[in-house]
Amino acid sequence: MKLQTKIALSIIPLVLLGIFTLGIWSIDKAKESTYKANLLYMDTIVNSYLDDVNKIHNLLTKNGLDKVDSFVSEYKLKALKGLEAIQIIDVSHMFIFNSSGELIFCSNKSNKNELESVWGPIAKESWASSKIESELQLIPKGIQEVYVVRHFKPWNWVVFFSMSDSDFLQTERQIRNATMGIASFCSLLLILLVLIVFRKFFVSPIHTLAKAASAITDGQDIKKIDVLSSDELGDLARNMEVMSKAIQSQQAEIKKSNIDLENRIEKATSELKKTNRELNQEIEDRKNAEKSLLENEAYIRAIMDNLPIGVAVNSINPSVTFSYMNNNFPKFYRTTRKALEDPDIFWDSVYEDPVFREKIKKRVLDDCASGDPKRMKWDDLPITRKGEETVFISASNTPLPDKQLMISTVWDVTLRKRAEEALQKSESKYKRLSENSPAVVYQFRMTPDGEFTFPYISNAVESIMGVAAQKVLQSPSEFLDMIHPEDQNVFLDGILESAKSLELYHAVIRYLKDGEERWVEARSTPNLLEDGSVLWDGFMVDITEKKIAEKEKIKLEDQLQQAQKMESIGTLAGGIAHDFNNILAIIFGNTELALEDVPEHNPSHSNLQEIKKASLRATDIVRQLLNFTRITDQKLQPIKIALVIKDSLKFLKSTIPTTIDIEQDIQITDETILADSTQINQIMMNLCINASHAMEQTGGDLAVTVEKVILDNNSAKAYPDLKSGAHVKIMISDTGPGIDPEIIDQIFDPYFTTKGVGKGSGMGLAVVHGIVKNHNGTISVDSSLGKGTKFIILFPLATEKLMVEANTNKDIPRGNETLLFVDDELSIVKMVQKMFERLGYKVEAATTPQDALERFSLNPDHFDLVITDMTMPQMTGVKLSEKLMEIRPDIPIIICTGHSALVDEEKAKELGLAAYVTKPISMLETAQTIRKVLDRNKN
Amino acid sequence: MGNNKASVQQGALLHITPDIEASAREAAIFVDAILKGANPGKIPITPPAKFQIGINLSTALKLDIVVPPDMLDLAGDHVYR
Repeated sequence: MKLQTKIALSIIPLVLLGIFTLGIWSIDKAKESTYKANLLYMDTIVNSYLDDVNKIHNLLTKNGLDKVDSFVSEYKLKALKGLEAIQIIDVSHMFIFNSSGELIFCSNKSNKNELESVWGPIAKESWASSKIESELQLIPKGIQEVYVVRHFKPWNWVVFFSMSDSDFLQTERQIRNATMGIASFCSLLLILLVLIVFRKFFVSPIHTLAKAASAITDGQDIKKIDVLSSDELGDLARNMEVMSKAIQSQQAEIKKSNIDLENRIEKATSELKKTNRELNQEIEDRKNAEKSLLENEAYIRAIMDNLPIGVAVNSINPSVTFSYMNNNFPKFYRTTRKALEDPDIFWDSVYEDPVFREKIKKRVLDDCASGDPKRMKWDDLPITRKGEETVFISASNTPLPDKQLMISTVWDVTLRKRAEEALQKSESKYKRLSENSPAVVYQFRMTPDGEFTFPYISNAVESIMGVAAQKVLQSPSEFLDMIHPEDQNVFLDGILESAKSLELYHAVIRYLKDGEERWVEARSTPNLLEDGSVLWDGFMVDITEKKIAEKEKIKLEDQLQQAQKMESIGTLAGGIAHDFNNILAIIFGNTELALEDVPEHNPSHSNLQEIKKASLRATDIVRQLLNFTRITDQKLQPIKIALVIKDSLKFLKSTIPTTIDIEQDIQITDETILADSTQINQIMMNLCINASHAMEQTGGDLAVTVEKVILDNNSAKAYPDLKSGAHVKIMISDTGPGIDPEIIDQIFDPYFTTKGVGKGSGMGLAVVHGIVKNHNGTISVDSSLGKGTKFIILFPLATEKLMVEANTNKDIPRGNETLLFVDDELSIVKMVQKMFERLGYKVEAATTPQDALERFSLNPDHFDLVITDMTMPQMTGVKLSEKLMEIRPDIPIIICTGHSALVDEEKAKELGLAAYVTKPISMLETAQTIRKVLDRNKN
Repeated sequence: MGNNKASVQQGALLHITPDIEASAREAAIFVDAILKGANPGKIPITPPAKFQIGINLSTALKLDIVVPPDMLDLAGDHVYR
């Protein structure tokens, strides 16, 4: 029997006894608790039911229905139904008796009579004694039941909840059986647990110890026995571990001694083998070294022979003996190895020219004798051969002091020498080019610190900018200071931008030469140098002339544009003038007709006179408009200048502000000049309005003086355009701010104005100047700042008879001839017809050229004169005239026009026309012309 | 059968109508939701949360009707004579 079985058998009876005692005790306790729990259950259900019944009864009493039978019986029924609905355990039942012991309700279908007989008396007694019970009762007739009884007084109800004792105790039995079952299971579990514990703490360690002892016996190394407890078994295990360790240690020592011995024998054997191998290797290495030495020698010789320089080793003494030389050495000296190896012919074979040979020999030998390594280098030695190109070599010697030897090296420098010569030639060529160029050629450098220098600048800088090239090279500020102050930033910004982007620098900058502003155009290409500096190579050209030409061009373009503008205004004015003159012809002619009809004493007569004057003035304005655009011909005729000026001033007084006083001093009366009064009027207007503008802000005096002066030969010299003789001098002076002396020469230039855009055309004084010149006069200006301005105009006095006087004859010539009048304006036709018929003429009128031509061709001799308008639809007056003259060449034709570019007085004469009349047609003027033409034709 | 408390007080047998106070409270919840930005169109239509029952016992007795206890209990204080 094993140890664990023995222990188990001793413990199990004790455990079983304990469990049995515990079971008995717990069954008693369970019985008591079950009884109490059942009573509580019954009590709770009965009380709960009675609460519901009470609630229903309260509803009746609260609403005063407890006396209403129908409600009371219905509500009682409801309460009993409530009892039916209560779920109670099967072995129990509830029933209700009234106070007289009659059964009212029963929860199960028990025998009613039996119930009444058993429980009726109990109910009656309980009601009478008011005793309510909740306990185990032995009911008479030997039935043992447990019940709970309660009373519901309002309805005289005795309520029972009962359960038979056997049913009641069934639960207890069930509990007892369950308890016993659990106890048995627990004891089995406990026994199992005890066995496991015994196995763990006693049986297993002993088993492990037994296994370990067996292993030690077999000679195994037991380092750890898996018994960790601190009891006697644990101590035994640890002692066994120590024992195992001691045995193992002894065994290891024996083993180690054996291995050591074996190793010693092996080592001695391997050392012997190694020595043998090394000896063999050394023999092999020596063979290889010998071979390698030979190869190296050949290799170095090949290198030396292929070097691009000549190398030799020779003696130091003057008679040169060579101990080594490579293939290139004699080649660079243009001789043979053999020649060089002979000490007596070395110098002769190398240098042909005896003089040069001796010279170089002496020099070389001296240099070598000095022992100074710096002297033992000779550059660019010429080696000449008759009939061949000279080559150049450089040579150097390096002494080997201990051996009385020198290493001589020689190399060909012919290519470099040739390149240097070529470079020199090229440099001098470009220098010549730059020095002879009219442009300034320069190099400009900027260091990373922003410092400027000119490494080179050609002499042209002196001719262009007037500063010597040497000065600029020494001090760049000499150049920079010459740049116009306003352009210095342009120059510097451009340089910095170009330095940053390394793109072409191009700038047009102004500079000051002797205070005069001039222009240069600079172009240069930047290059970034290694030290971070930027170097520009470029040139500068003086473009002052070009700039001036450009300015002139712009000015001319502006003038051309203005002229074109004026031309278009002129075209427009021509068109307007034509229409205006037609209208004025109607107004003027009709006014003249009316004036004849209305007697002078009639107040309307003076009104008509005013209309006539206004019409004349309007005619003048139209002419002035045409004159301004140079379309009309000047009508120079003798006029009384004083009257014209007075008229102008009268008009000006109404336009010039009252802050300006006009003083007039006219010392002449009847003197005449050959002039166009409209233009004289324009001169006065332009000059006086200019003066008033000058004094607009401050006010002042405007003085106009007219006097007669006689220029003798001397004084006439002051005016190149005038001859000596009598002149009219007109002076217009103001007290304005005066004209700036800088611009006084420009004031008569067309389009020159000091007024703002839109205020002055710059044409006023130019027009005045033009008119004065056309009248053979002269104009001058005298002005200083702050002292006002004075214009002086001189016109030669006229010798011709005053034309106005001739026109004063009021007798209008008359006649009785037949006239054909052609005009496309019906109003004019009607007016002219009336006008001429009053003068006695017979007038036939036509409103189209075709009509006129038709009438004329029917009877050409019927007409004595044709008067035709110039501008008509379909056919011009000139064309009509030509056609009429084709029919009858001698027919006199007068052409009249408002304005037309196609005809003027001269052209009319060329075409063979009798006369040329401008609209508006004046009765007097036209009558005179008609009479003159008719009379001339008759003659 | 009446349609409000007054009719039952005046003799109708009973009325079952939505409870006024509960309806007012529901309306207040709607107002609160609308003021907080709810879309009125999205507020669901619900049946009244609470009803009020009123019974006239005199009428019941006259008509010889026994009002069941559950209903009388529901009427609570709204039982009139």
